[in-house]
Order: sequence, then C-alpha cells, then structure tokens
Amino acid sequence: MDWGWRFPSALQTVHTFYEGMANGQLLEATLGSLRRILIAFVLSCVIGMTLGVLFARSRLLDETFGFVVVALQTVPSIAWLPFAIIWFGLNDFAVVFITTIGATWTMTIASRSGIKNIPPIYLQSAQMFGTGRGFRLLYQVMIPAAIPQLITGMRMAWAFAWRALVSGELIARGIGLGQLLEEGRSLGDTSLMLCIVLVIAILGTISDHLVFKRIEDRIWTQYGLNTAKT
Amino acid sequence: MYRKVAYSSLMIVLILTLLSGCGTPGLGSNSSSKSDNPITVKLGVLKNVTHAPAFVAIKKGYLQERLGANVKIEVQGFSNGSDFSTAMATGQIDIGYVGPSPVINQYIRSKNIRILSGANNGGAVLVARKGSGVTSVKEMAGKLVAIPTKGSTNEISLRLLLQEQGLQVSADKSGVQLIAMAPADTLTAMKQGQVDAALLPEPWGTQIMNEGIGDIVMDWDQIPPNKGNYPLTIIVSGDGFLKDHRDLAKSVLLANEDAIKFIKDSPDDTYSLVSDELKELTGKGLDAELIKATLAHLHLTMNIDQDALKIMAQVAVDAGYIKGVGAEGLDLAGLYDLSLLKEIQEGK
Repeated sequence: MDWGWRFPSALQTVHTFYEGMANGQLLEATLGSLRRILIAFVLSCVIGMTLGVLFARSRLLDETFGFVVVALQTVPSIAWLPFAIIWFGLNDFAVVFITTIGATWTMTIASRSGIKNIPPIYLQSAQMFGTGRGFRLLYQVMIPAAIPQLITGMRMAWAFAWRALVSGELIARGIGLGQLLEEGRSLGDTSLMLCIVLVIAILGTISDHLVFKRIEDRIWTQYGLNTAKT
Repeated sequence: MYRKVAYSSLMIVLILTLLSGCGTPGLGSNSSSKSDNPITVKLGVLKNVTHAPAFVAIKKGYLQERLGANVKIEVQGFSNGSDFSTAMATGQIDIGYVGPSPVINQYIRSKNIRILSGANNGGAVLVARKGSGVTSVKEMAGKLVAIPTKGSTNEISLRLLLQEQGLQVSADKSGVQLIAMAPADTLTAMKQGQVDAALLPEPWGTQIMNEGIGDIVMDWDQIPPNKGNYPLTIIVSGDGFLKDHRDLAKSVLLANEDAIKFIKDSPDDTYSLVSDELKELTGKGLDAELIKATLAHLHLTMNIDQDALKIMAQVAVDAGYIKGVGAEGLDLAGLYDLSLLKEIQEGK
C-alpha cells in the first residue's frame, strides 16, 4: 500500500503549522477552542462542585440523584450532541453545552468523594470551634480539606472536556480546532490533520504539566501527602 | 534534569524520523486483482439528481450490459464529494460520478485520481430561507450559507459569486459565513431557521422551494463559472483501476453515453428510474415533478471544460484549500486521461 500521501512528512506538517500560524487561521482556531473549553470547564467545575457538595451532605439527594449522575457519567457526552443541535442550533452554545456535560459528572463524583472522605474529626473539631454546620464549615474546612481530590477531579474533567470539545467541534460550525480538523479531512489535507492532532496534544501536555500537575504537587506537599522523593 | 531533557529530545527526534520516513513516497500501488475471476466494479455516486446519468446507467441496465455479465457492480452512495474523493484515493471505490473540485483537492495531494469524462454541466442553485432577508447575492453579507462540503464544487461557485459582488468569506458577521452540511440536513436546518441560504446541487434547491421553506435567489443558469455551463458531474477513476481495467473503464463511459442519450430522448421515462435509484441510495424516492424540474436545470454532456476547471482550481488556491502552489500555477496535466473519451467520440 502506498502510504506516501496518507501520512504527511514532518516537513509538510511543520510547514502547515507555520503557514497556519502566519495567516492566523490556526491561531484563531486554537484560541476559539481554548475559549470554549475554558467557559465549559469553569461551568462544569462550579456545577460539579455544587452537586458534589450537595450529594456529600444530603443522603437523600445522594441516593436519588447521585445514582443518576453515575448513570449519566457512563454516557459519552457526544451522545448529547443531537439534542444540543436541536435545542441550541449548530453553534458555539451546543459545543459548550456538550463539553460542560462531558466534564461535569466527573467533577461531581470527584468532589462528592473528596468531601465524603474528610475525616469526621475535622468537621467535629471545626464545629467545636464554632463554624456551625453551614456555609462557614463548608468554605473554611470542607473545601480546603477536599482540595487534593478536587484538583485530581479537575485534572480529569479537563481531559474529558477536551474529548467532548473536539468531537463537538467536528460537527458544529464556528472557528475551532475540531472544525479545522474536519476541514483538513474534507480537503484530504493530511498535514493539516496531523498538525491539529499535535496542537491538541501539546495544549493538553502544557495545561496538564504546567498547570494541574504543578498545583497538585504543591498542594500535596502542602498537605504533607507527598511521600515520594522528588 | 539534564537527563530528562536528553531523553525527551531523543524521543522527539525519534518520532520525527519516523514521521518523515512515512512521508517518502511508497513503492507503487498494489495490483492484486485478477481478471479471470468475476470482477467487482465498485461504483461511487453522490445522492443528487445532478448524477442522473449514473442513475439511469445503473437502473436501465446500460452499465451491466456494457460491462458484461462477468462483472458485478457494487454501487456506493455518498453525500458529498470529499467523502467520495477520500474513498477513491484510498481504493474503496474504483470509478464513479462526482463533482470536480473535491477531486482536484484530492489529486493535488495523492496524485492517484484521473478525470475520464464529463456527465453533466451545471445544476446547482442558490436558495435562501424565507424570512432570512436574502433576495440577492449582495444581501448575503453577515448570513450563514450552507454548502455540501468544504472545497466542494458548489462552494467554489459560491466563492466566485461572492467575489463578483465584492463580498468576503469570513468567520464572523463581517462577511459571509460558510457551513458544510449534507444537502438533506441543510433542508432541515433551513426549516429550523439555522441556515440563511445555501448553494446546493439539485434537486435540493427546488425541493426547498417546493416545500415553501425558501426561494431560489439565483437559478442554475446564472451560477458561475460560465453561467451554469461548468462541469458539475464528471466521471473519475483511480489510476490503479484505470491501469488494470482500461476496458472496464471504457465500458462505464459507454454506459454513460447511453444514459445521456436516453435522458435526452425520453425524459419522461427517466423520472421513475432516477427516483428508484435515489430510493435505493437514500431510502427515499423523489416526486416525478421534482425530478422533471431538476432535469431541466442540467446540461448533460460528456465534454469536459478544462478552462472552467482551471478557474475553479484557482479559487480553491485563493481560498487556501490547495497549498504550495508557485507562480507557475497549478499543474493539472496529470489529472486528465481523456483518451478513452476520445476513442468513444471518434467511434472506435
């Protein structure tokens, strides 16, 4: 089989990358995708943490809706795209919607278990110091105590969000890496396709390594959880 | 730390070598087919009435007749030319009917597709949704316009139209926004008000008009280049198939000639044939009236207007779909193999 044109050479890919950056198409697409994923990520963190706290604190909610969330987590977020298209149209909103859905459930489950795993003695002593059982207990004790788990949850949510984002963008309109990937496929431009894959991989590595991993390491050290030698 | 850097750079170098190794041209294509066994010819078509000659050649039996009883015909329907061209370049179909622009885009990269003959010129129309406020090309500024696929022949026509009116294709409201979707989906999207206008191959334009969803803003005989007289459906073949089965390729061209003649001579008998084949491909037939209206928008011909194709290729270059073209322009010489067509037209 002739693989000649089916896989681009490194040179072609670098050239396409350079050209894409020079005429702004690739940069614009990357920024567009980053904007969408950041909106969706913030949304899913807020929704996920809220739900997680509710589930951890209320047994009734946990045993009813908590179960639904576990079920929803098994649904690939792209399965919501047909709905999203009908509800919101083939636009940014639909993509942000499925990206949010893709990341929310992971975040919910991570924050729920993060809060559930707080040693009861923390909560009891906090209450003895007069935080009460309400909001102060939550943000002065529970959230800080659950932070290691929350960060791990965020890291996973970020990865899930990328998956949902790219698959959504492949179909919806707008400017993004997924759309550019689909354009590459339509035109048979393999160098553009590989270029996009590499950009996604690089963005993923950078965000994971320079942001989440760093925060995680710092917090683990801060919390005295880091037993491995660095 | 230094060790880590050393390891990662080694990895990167390794991957790059691997990648560039893949980029070197391979050792020719495989020719595993044997001619003594029954042969399967995989024919690709798009699910548009602009491919009527193909539908008639299949349904009327011309194709089977010309190819001989020893040949099994496998028909595959595609929604757009990009999918078709990818399938052809990767050897999933042997020969078929498609629009020229996706073929040119693919040819520039893979060099393994040949244009053999024409089938139909023109037959795409510009429609606008009722209530979208679009009644002329100029009013498309800031609107969302659908095309069957990125780099499709219809998109090239649209870009030419916009050029004439001094409009730009853009990603925001400052110009015309493009969206690629299958024509059947465009109909739904227009019904829901998500798309403002579309440049589509027939029957979709007429169907959108008949269903009262939109109006035809520009009829087929005004669509550039050449006022509708540009190749919209052509016959192409993979060069491996052409090399191994020249005779079969010629038979397909002959069947195409028969079909075109049939449609011209007895259009009334054509409608049911086209509808039947569409039903097989899409699960849904079409109204005879609709096909009749559509066929009036076609200019069936086996000739290929290479100048029109050149204009269209240049639009693709300007749009950035074809890259790395120097000042000497595109070299499309290897794209055509019109010798079979010539043989047929000279009556050999």
